[in-house]
Amino acid sequence: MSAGPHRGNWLTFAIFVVAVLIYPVLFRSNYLVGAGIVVGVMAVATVGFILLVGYARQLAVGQAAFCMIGGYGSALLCTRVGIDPLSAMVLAAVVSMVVALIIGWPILRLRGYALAMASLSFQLILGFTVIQAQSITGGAAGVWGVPKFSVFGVQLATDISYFYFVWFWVIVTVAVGLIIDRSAIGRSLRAIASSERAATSVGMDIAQYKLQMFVLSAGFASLTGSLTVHYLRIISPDVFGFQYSLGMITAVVAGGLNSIAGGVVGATVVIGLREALRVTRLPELEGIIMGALTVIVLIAFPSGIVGAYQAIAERVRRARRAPAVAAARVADEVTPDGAAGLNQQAGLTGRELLTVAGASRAFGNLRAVDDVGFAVEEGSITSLIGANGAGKTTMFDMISGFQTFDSGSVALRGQRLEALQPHAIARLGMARSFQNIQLFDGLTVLENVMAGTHRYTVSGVAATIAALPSARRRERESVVEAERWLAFVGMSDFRDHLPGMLSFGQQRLVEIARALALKPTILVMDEPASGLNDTETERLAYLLLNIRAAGVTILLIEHDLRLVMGISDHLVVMNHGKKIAEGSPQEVRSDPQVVAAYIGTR
Amino acid sequence: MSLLFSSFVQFVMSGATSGCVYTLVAIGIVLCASATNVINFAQGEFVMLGGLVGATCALAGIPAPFAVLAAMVTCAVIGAVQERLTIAPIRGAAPFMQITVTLGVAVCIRGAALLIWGKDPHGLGGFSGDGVIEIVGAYIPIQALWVWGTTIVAIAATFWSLNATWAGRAIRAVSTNAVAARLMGINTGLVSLLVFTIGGAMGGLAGVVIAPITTVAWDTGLEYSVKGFTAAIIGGLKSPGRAAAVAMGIGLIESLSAAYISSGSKDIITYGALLLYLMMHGGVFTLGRRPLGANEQH
Repeated sequence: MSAGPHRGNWLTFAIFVVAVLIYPVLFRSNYLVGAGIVVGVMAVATVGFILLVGYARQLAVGQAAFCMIGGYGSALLCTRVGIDPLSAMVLAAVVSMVVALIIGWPILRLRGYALAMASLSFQLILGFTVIQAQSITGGAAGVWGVPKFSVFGVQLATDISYFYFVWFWVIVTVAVGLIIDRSAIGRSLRAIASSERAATSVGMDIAQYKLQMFVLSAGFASLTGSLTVHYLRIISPDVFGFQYSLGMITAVVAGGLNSIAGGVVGATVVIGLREALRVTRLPELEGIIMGALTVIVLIAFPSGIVGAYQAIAERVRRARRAPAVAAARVADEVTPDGAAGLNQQAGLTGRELLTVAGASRAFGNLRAVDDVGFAVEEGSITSLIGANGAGKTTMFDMISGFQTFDSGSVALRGQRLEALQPHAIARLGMARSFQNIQLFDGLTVLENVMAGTHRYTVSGVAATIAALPSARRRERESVVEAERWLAFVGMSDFRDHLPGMLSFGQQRLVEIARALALKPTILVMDEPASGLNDTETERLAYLLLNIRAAGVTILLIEHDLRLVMGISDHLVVMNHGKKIAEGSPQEVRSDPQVVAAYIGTR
Repeated sequence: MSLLFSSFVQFVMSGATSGCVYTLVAIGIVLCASATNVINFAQGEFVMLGGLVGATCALAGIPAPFAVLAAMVTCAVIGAVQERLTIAPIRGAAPFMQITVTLGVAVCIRGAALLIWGKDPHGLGGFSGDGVIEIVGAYIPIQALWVWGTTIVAIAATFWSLNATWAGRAIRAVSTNAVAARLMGINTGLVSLLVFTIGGAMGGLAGVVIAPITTVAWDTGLEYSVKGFTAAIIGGLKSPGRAAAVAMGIGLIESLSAAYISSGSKDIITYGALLLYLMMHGGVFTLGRRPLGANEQH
């Protein structure tokens, strides 16, 4: 989150704007200005499509459906209703976004091929419906005589004026894309792409993010439709058929899925190729070349042209300042600083914080969790222990919302959780860490922890795009909080590293910092000692005591007794899905059933 | 026989004929999907390609059996090449990538067909002439009998080889549990190559037998892909039998809705049914918490 890359990107953006301004002046040929219009029109849709496919990772194969709504909306509103093009365009975009909201809510629950097919069938249904509704849409022949665009009564009669108008919208689209990319929303989308489980555990509503990007992307696609019809002056069902959807896919793949610029670059490549083939009188080669381009780029350069360019630029930059990246200092003495900021009410309070009652979950005939009930006292470290296969992880998943209940309940301060989604549970103040560490790979350590502040620092899409002061303030708050929790676990020196560069133990600490950044009332940890050596486990024990001292209640799901016995206030023992004992470490240690079932078998 | 009944039989027969083609496409998709987890968006393009290769052979005076063979071999080879060049290198990649790559291959095949055969639709004569036979007042092209017969033989051969041959058992093993299959010494790469080759051959076969009835052009493949998927997906993607049953159903529904509702309604009904099925499958009507697996990414 340093200032460097930002300034760089906004500089590129400024260069881009200047290039747009001088392009028609440099190339005064009608042909090139016309080609520029076609590129710009497509770029609006492809930049929006990158938000959906590249950022939200939702491959909606039939996205040109929304171009069709925009195109027909503008054409019909202008020719049949007689309203002005700008109002028609806006109205059509609103309709597209509403349709996207209605259709997206169910289909975005699908994954992979199912989503692709659902989106494709939506486009095909829309196409056939347009052909069928002949009295309104003109059927296969389409709508003729669409007027040229006019803004507040001034007609954009020349191609140059329309070029500027179209590229104004490209610039708006790119700016919106860049703002999202830089914002907490962009960070959240990258986090979701990296690990949905972890993203939802810090309170990110994945379904909502996907839907937002779908709606936004549909709005941009609709603009492309409207801008197209006022240029072609006609719309028919095949203008935005499946072929156009495929062109959009080729464009975003070739341009680069992971950056906003990829949308503009991709549209330029696709239209440029098409025009070049037309000029060289080889238009029939288009299919083969576009198809091959898609396949080759995906296999050889999955991040596209922009990604390849960034990789080269990064290598050059690194070569220039090679010695500066010295071996990272190893924080060998992890001594957590004070726990400033957490609820400073250490000590047992005698109040029940988390209550599990009669919880059951069976998989076929296997009763993984069978009528388990226990309570976690506020201010305590409570441990749920048991041998492998005792049902601990299922219990963890049930408590944290990743698994459904067959029967029974779980409540946090009396608030029932068993029907809630994981992100909703996180927002109520439950933080989690996972047995197999789930950090966000593409995010730096600091950004990982910033993601943890999501539940109290994230702003809505509208507020983010409008760059409201509140959104900026929250982003600063997020950095401050993240730095504090990194310091708490002793990982401040690694803030700009990527998680992949850290040792397993260090990754565990970052994950704990991210969990604490939620400012949770309870921290639920699934086998935090797994994969740690003895020294690291001992440090972890100190860290957990510090966390408790800072007023965070801890529920440990663990089978490592070295960790559990020394620090727990209360133990719950599970075996074969049932609770077999609970009490203080001393009581449990001497319980014959526990000895037989668990300790004795070690 | 009343005219009403005869025309009903007529529509059922023609629905069954297109249902057969969808069946062959759907079986190809199911074989590939269950053994490799890749949904091949290029599957319908093999139908188009098989038809065009058959038409070219017929034009050159090559007898029907060899035309069929040529169509099957061409598509099998292209299926194999597709697997080696575009599926094998990205095995285990994100589903998004695999889907997009097969889409790219589909675009490529369409483009190649456009380049070789041009825009005009092609046809070829029926294997036993272009005559019709009468069944309870309905007139069926004799070629339809070839379509039905071929499909039945192809389904029988598929089931027999899945159950009785070593390769078939390997395919089933990989579909059930790829990791375990590999641990047992099954070459999963080879199985992947095999299913794509078979899928190509099936598509080619479907294409060459249906072409005398429908004619074929460079852009007819998409429709078969989508209908094939619809059947494969609703059939559950694991069972060739169920996919075949759904495919026949789609053929019948299409034909009947085209006849009794309107010709334009058939596609809307088919795709509407798919959309509805997918939505229900996605859990639109389940409320509250849904389990999210650790490996369920996108």
